[in-house]
Amino acid sequence: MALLHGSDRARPKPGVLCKILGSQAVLLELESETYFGLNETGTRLWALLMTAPSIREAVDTMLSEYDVAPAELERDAAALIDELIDRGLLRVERA
Amino acid sequence: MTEPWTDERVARTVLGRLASAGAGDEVRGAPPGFSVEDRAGLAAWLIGHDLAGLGFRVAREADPPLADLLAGAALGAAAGNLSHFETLSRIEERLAKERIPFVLLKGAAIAGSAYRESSDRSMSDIDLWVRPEDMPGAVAVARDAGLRQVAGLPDRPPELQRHSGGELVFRHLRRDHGIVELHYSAFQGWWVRRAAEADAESLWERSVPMGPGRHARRLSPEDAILHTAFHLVVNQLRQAPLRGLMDLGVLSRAYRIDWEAVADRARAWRLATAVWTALETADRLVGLPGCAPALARLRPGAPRRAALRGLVPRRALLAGRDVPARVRRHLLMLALVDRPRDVARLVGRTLWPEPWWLDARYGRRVSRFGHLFGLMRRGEV
Repeated sequence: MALLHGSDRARPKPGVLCKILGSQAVLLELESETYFGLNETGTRLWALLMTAPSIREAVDTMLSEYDVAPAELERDAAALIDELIDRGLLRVERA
Repeated sequence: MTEPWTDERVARTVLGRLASAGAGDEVRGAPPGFSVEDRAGLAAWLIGHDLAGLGFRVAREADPPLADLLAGAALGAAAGNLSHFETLSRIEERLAKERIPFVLLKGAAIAGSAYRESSDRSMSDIDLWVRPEDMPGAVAVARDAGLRQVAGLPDRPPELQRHSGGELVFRHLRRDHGIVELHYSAFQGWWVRRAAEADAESLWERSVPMGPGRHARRLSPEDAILHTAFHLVVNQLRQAPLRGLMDLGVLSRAYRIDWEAVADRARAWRLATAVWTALETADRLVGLPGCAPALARLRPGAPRRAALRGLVPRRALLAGRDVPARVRRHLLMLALVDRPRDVARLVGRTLWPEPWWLDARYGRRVSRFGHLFGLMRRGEV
């Protein structure tokens, strides 16, 4: 949850490629050739993370787009971000 | 794998719709025959024919439950393409720096130009055609890009590959994708050298840039049709034949094809029967708009058409079954030769090759009798 506060930014790890297929996406880590599929909301979050000035602002934009309780969305977003970090697909740049 | 329909016309409707979408047509609702009851069967069939990516994109609009069944395979194929294109990008950058021209062939070229989305078309490797005099430089570039050359098959040593217009294969040390093949020619193999006279040089001259600012070139649309057709039949319509036939369907829809030029070149290169076989099969299974006059000009006589129908059964292609026996495949390759005297030359030189061919093939002095005996011992005669 700490990731969702402050002005930390998320960026793909070097060697990670993304292909968006409609509302879904696939992330590929080149070195290990492992790939990870994202569903519609995961794809939207990934797209926002790549463009928003911070993780917090990406999540705020998600909150404005989805009719969902803030706590629930923040919990799911944090879980996905953690998983992407664990899988070597995402890194966080401290502000 | 079996086809999920009982009627070839339904298959044509579905495949034609996929080809139109592949070429960039808007997907509007489900086509007749697309939403079949057995979605799992249809999904398995599309995946088995390496058409999951294209099927997934169309199904997202036309049949979401089918898209769900295809999603895993489509995402996997897209990931594979990402890896291939990343390798291509690194090789292309280095080839540009070394001023080595090349023409991208087959899947990577067609996926990156004719298909609306490159992820529509899966690929198993990247095929680059370089001039023979540039091959040493291209090999150095591939190694510099972190690729290692793969030892060829015992019956295809590098020297023989050079003579046959074949390829050198490179791959990453650890990655499964990003395999690169450096081709000496667009037309590879002994069949085309013995039985036809394909003018690869003219293909090179007509090639066009892949896109603005790109160093890579691709074949002109007409030549891409000819090359795809040739490649399909010279591989006896094995190795994902429906994907190759789909390529023909997409190319014919994505570009304004000069079918007269296609027929002229196929006839001049003595590839009329081979090209007709591929185009006629594609027209029946996928639909090739506007190709009828070319088919009429390339059509072989009735006896040969009957033989080819037996040797290239469309139901077997739809069901994903190869042309079965080796003998039948040999018969197909003979039936595809335009001129009877080229059949004699093909058979004669296969059994009794030139001394330089024997040197290149075996890397040591082997007599023609020794070669013939080897063929017989391996059951290849």
